[in-house]
Amino acid sequence: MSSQPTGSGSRLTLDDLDVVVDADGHLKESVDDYLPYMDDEFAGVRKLIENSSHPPSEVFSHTRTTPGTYGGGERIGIEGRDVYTGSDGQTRDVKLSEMDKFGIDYSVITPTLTSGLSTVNNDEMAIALSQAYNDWVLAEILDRHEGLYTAITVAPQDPHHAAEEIDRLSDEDGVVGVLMPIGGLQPPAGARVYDPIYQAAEDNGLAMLYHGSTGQMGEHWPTMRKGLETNAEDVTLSHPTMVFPNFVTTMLRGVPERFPDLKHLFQEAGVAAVPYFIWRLDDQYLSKGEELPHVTKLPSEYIYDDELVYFTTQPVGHTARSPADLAKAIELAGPEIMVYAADLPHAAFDPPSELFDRIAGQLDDDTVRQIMGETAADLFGFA
Amino acid sequence: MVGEDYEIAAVEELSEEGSRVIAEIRGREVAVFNVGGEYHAMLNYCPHASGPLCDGPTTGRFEADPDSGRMTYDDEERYVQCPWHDWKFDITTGKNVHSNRYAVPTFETAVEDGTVYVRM
Repeated sequence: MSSQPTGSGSRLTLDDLDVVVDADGHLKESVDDYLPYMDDEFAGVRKLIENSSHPPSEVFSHTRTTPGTYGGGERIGIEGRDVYTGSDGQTRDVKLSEMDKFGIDYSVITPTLTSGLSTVNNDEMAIALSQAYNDWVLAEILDRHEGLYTAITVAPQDPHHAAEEIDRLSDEDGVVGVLMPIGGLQPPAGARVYDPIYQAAEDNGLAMLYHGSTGQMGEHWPTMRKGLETNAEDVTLSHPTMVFPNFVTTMLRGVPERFPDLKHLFQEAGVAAVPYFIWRLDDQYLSKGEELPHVTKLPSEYIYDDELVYFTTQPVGHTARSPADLAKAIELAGPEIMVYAADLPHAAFDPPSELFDRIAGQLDDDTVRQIMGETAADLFGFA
Repeated sequence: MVGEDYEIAAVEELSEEGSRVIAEIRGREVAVFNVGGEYHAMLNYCPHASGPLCDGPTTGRFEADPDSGRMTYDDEERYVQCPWHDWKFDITTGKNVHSNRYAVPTFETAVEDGTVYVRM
């Protein structure tokens, strides 16, 4: 565990923190893990999925530019397929060992492959996968540790059914949010067609989480993706280009106005682009507000004054010119809207020290504590 | 502080609704608009990027019906839109249409003997 002394007179160390929350703690699930949990109501599509030799491409449209360089290893932080499969039960403890290794007290569980639900062409299949994944997480993942929480992953193809899924599961222990799969989501998240999802989340006191991933890039920006040649290009672009259109449409189509008690967490877009997009939203609102009668004040006022929008810090990126650049970016974005996320076990993961060591001493100790865990604990209502 | 009255135009120049006159008073450009038969004066200056606000078109205003959510349009042209970046201000109050954080100075007007005055 890193516990280096920090600059500018602060003696705060990671070990001093009361709480570290990973606001984006991934599973590495495969469809085979949760297919047994699919209700008999969906026996037909379940049979079709069972017949698939490669569900990521035949059920989902999950593609990559290249296989990447990280292959099938099982080291923590290394992308590996089927980490959670296997019948011996041992592999299911990977999430807990990650948390112990990195000193993470709480993880909000998010899927990997299943975060691409929007790319599932068959609507019934998408609904069935959502139900099976959610029930699998509740039955096999959450009760392993008191620090594990989850977000209900919904199929946006049928917003009314998604709302029923939220109502069905919201009272289960450990459910703290609703994950909107944004990679390839059409129309984007601000569209009124999704209001039943937002209404159900707000009614049940759950936060909305928005998560895309590299595997959905071919669906999300198909023409641009065709021109990408390497995994590095793909990964650099994929998450922010999925997050920001959904963030922008959510803000400009009045979702915060229609659902004033609904909080939103945008995941894996990093820190430094956040202030620019907020500034740009305000700028466009002031120039073209007549197009946006559903927005009645600056978008930044919904964010900062009403405390409705948050972003995870990961992946912070490499600040080669100065480690202090990250703290400057957080100050620009607003430290109160940034929450730490590890993204374990994905290869882009940020251990707590990666963020902590660059902000401790640069931001005041209370702010550091808030970013590392306290703000997320409040957002998700952890006891 | 009691202001002084500055002659800005003859009433005939501002007789049509929607008409405007821009004049320089004590080194500052001030516009007087005829809105609904009343004269309103505001500084020809946009607080966004220092653009010539009052050179822009006058407009009505879009709003959302609170019940249906449908867009509505109030066609009373009580607003002026900056020609640089489209920021819009209420000519009668100087307030930005979209945010109460921004406003443009407005001035009292008076009419005497066929002449429109601005008090500054």
